Parts: sequence; structure tokens; C-alpha cells
Amino acid sequence: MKVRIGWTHLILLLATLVGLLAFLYPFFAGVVPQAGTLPSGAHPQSPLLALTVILLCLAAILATLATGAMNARMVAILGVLTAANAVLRAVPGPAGFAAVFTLPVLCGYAYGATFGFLLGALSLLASAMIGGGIGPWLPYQMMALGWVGMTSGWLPRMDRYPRLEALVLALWSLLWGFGFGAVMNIWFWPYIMQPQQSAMYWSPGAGLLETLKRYGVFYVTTSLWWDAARAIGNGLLTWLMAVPVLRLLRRFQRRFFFVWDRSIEQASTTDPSPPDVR
Amino acid sequence: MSNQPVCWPATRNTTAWLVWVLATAALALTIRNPLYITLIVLATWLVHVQVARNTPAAANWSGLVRLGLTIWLIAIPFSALMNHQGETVLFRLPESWPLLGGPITAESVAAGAASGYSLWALLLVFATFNLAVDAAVMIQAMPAFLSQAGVITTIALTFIPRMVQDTREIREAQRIRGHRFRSWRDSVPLAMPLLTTAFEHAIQLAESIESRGLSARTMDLSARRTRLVRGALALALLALLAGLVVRLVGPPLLGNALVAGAALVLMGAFYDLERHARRTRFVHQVWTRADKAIVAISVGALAVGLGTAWARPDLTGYAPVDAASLLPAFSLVPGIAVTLLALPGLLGALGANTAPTGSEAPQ
Repeated sequence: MKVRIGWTHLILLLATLVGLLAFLYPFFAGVVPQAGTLPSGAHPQSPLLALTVILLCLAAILATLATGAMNARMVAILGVLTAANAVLRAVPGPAGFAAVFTLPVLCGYAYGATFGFLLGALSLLASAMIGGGIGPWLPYQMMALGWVGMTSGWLPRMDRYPRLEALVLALWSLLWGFGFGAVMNIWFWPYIMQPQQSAMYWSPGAGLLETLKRYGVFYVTTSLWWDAARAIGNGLLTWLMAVPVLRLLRRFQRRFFFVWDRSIEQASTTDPSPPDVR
Repeated sequence: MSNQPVCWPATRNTTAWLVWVLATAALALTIRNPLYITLIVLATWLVHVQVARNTPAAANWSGLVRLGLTIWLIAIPFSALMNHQGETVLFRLPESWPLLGGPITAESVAAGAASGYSLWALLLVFATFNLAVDAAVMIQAMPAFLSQAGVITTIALTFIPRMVQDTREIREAQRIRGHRFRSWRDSVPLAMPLLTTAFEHAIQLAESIESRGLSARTMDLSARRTRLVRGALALALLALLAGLVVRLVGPPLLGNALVAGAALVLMGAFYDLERHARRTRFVHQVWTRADKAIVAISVGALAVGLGTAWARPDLTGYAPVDAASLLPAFSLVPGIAVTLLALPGLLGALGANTAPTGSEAPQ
């Protein structure tokens, strides 16, 4: 995608770094976990700080777009793809599977990191609006699914090997199926503690390896089976859809992302060849 | 529009609803004490009943509440099996069972019930909010500097019914051609025409936007100012990143100053964009006395709740360790404060719907 690479990408990258730090902040800040299942009690400022920082990051990214980073075609295609992804999310699948990763992964890969981030984040916003899913978890979900689309844009190009490309993207969807669940747990896991179950809950002072070990136990016990259904479902769907959908996305790419170059138009007054489309 | 009797709560000010939901949700997140949570649930339930009475979509949202109830019921055995804290032993599981083995206590059952209860209360609060304020009104309430995101979301919400209709038509056409949908592999012949049609719709939409001279640019910003705003946003994010890092490894005062400075620059940039946004409003929301009362009560309840959580964490927390601590503590002032969150429901029940034009006034 050839859309204002400089500022938009810089702000997206900085917001991603800040967002990532906000997710991981409680581990470094030494928050005392509270008994219960949600952030609470004596340190209400920590989850609120993380939520505020995530909201500021999302607002900064979306505000950048309003400064002219998008043209009407991009707005239209993002709106329509957001609708498609929201519909896909609403289609119920076995074991809680929802096909929410396939489009952000494929579109992020084909149209770039910024487009992928926006599609991921905004499709969750639209989906939450139609499905009544607005809550404190929404900014975290928007950020996490935005990262799915954004990182897909960073994958190496494999246009010449369509089967390999489909396989890699399917594996990528599979990995993100687990990764998304693992990331989403982190918004509340550091704040909860069940005394005498220190094997699966974080406590201040636990080293990196110990924290990873405890989180592994927590993840396997509470999330793995749900995430497995989502990861396998999205992986299979991406593998099935990758080749035809990518062909379609590339076919429409030139129609959506061409930029009219005035200098060529001016040159054409002396040279009658048609203006370049890129 | 303003001459007709209006239906409560569709006319209630969106900002008032936002303040109410933020205050109630923040309290549901902060408080663990089941007695206060019960008061929050009762207050929210009163609002929910009033809102649901006038909203045809109420049946959809009650599903979310039922889901919360299911999560709550799951949380109790989960806590009882995983958390073996407490003195009142109900029964024992073999110690050799990994994670689950050990005594199952009344305290762990109570802690699980209290945790699930808070989560259910939170879901109820947001279910009520989602019911009270529809998507179009929420998009209208978005600040102007986020108008691009608002436009994209509006397009998405408008296209969803159309895509559902397209799916039906494509499926019918495929069936007429003899295609049978037997497994998930058969989804490609359905998905590809659907996506192609969606792209064609997007091109038509973009062309109609451009041909009407609307373009997608919603800001009156010169090139220099655009660069300045973008630079400010990037600088603020960089300062925020540095501030968070310094708070962890350096002097906290410097870290806090950097975070506060970054937040101020971001707010300044958002304000500047807001000022330069080109936005036409056909309706403006009006602040009634009832709306102002809802805002004041919500802010007051939040202040009392957070103040109590800070000064008396034993009142708002709940972590039973023995039989004596199973009964949660209670104090009247925070109890009254959270009960007042029922105000939107009370106003609805008392017929505040016909009150001095809560409706959106055409400008």
C-alpha cells in the first residue's frame, strides 16, 4: 500500500510500543495482585493507567488518519471490509470459534501494516457496536486484533509461491489464534491472585522464567482449549481462502490505491503518453 | 420531532449516559464487597428494566446478561477447586491431584461467588448501556477528531445488512446452479462472490463520495499545521513511552512529569484537530435538568466509592479467610452513594420522559 508511509507509520509504531508497555506495565511496576478475578481494590490506578494509555494510543492512531492520511477510496474499502469481518465474527462456529483473524491477516499482508491494523481494530469496534460488546475489554481487543493485522503486513512477500504463501499465512493465523488469547489474558492476569495457588498466579518479585512458567500453567488451565478451537478454525479458513482472496485483493489494489501524480499530468502536456498509475 | 411525545430513554443525553456507565463500571471494577455489588446490581437492574421497556432489541441484550450469569456459575466451582484458602472445610480432594487436590472450603466458594458476581454486575452495566444508546447515537457522540473512524464504522454498520442480503442472494444463485453446501470447504464459492461484490460496492461508494466533492478529508488544516499536529502526536507518544520507562527505572517524579506532559500534548493536539474539523450536525443534544442530575450523581457516587476504596479498603474489598470474615462489612454512606446510581431508572419510572425536551433539537 502506498499511503503516507512517514508519519502514519511512525505514529503507529510508537503507539504500538506504548501499548505493549501498557499491557506489560504491571509486571514491571510491582503491582500487588488482589484476590478476585478482575483488577480491583487497593491499586485501582494501575489498571486504570493501563486502560487510559491504551485509549490514548488508539485515539492518536485514529486522529492521525483524520489529518488526511486516507482518501475516499480507502475509507470506503475499510468500511466495507470492516463490515465483512464483523459479519464473519458474528457467524457462530464450533467451540466458540469465530473467523475474525482471516481478513485482517490477509488484508494486512496484501495492503500493508497500517491497513491491517485499522481493519483489525475497527472491525472489533463495529462488531462490539452491533453485538453489545462495548466494555473495558474493548480497547485491549481493538489493540490486539490491530496488532494481528499490522504484523501480517511485516511478513516477507511470497507472491511467486502461492501455495507456500497460503501455508505461511495459515500458520500465522494459527499462531495468532493462540497469541491473541495469550495477549488478552494479560490485561487482567497480573492483578488477580488466588492465595495458595501461586503455581498459576503472578506475584511481585517473580523472575521472568518463573512468571512465564506460572502464566503457562494459567493459560493451559483456563484458555488453551478455547484458543485452540479459534486458532485451528482460523488457520484452516486462512489456508482455504488465502490463494483466491489474495488474488482478489491484488486485482483491486490498483483500483483502490492509485495516486494521481500531478507532475506527470503536467509533463503530459508536452508528452502525449497517458498518466502513470501506481 | 420535538412536538411529539418522546420515548424514554432514546432522548436522554449521550454524554450523561457515558458518565453514568463510566462511573458505574469503575465502581463495579473497584469494589469486591458483595453487599455493595448487590446495590450496584439493583440500581443497574432498575435502569435496565426501564430501558428494556422501550427498546425492541431488549431480547438480544438479555443474552449477554445470561452469559454473565453462566460465567458467574462457572466461577464458583472454578474458585472452589483452584483456591484452597480458608478454615471451613466442606470436603477434601486427594492431594495427589495436580492443582485441584486439597481442601474445598466455604471461604473459597464465597470468594468465587463474589468474583463472579462482580463480573456479572459489570456485564449488566454495559448491557444496559448498549441497550440505552444505539450505535448511530454513539457514532454521533464521537469527537470530531475521530470522525474518520466514525465514518468507517458508519459505513460498516450500514453495509452489514446489505452483506447479509448479498450472502442470501449468492447462496440462492449457487443453489440454482446445482451447488450444494455440505462442508466448510464449500464456503469458498460463497465467500469469493461476496467479497467481490463488497469491493464493487466500495468502489461505487468511493466514487459517489468523490463525485459529490466530499472526499474523505474532514479537517481544514494547512500543510504546515498538519505536519505540526502529526509531529506533536509522535512527540507525545515518544514522551509517554519515555515517561512510563522512567517511572519504572528512574525518579518517579520525572516519569510522572513526562507522562503528564505527554497527556497534555496529546489532549492539545486532539483539541486542535477538534477545532479544525468540518462537521455538520443536523441535531444537537440538549441538556435537561435530569441529564445534569444524572451526571452530578454519577460523579458523586464515583468519588465516594473510590474515596472509600482508598481510605477503607476493608469496606470495599472481600477476601474471606475464616468463618468470621465470610460476612462482608458495610457502611451506610458508600451504600447510599452506589444506590443513587439508580437515578436514570427512577427518572424513567417517574415519567421524566415528557420532561422539558430531552429530545434532540433540530438546528
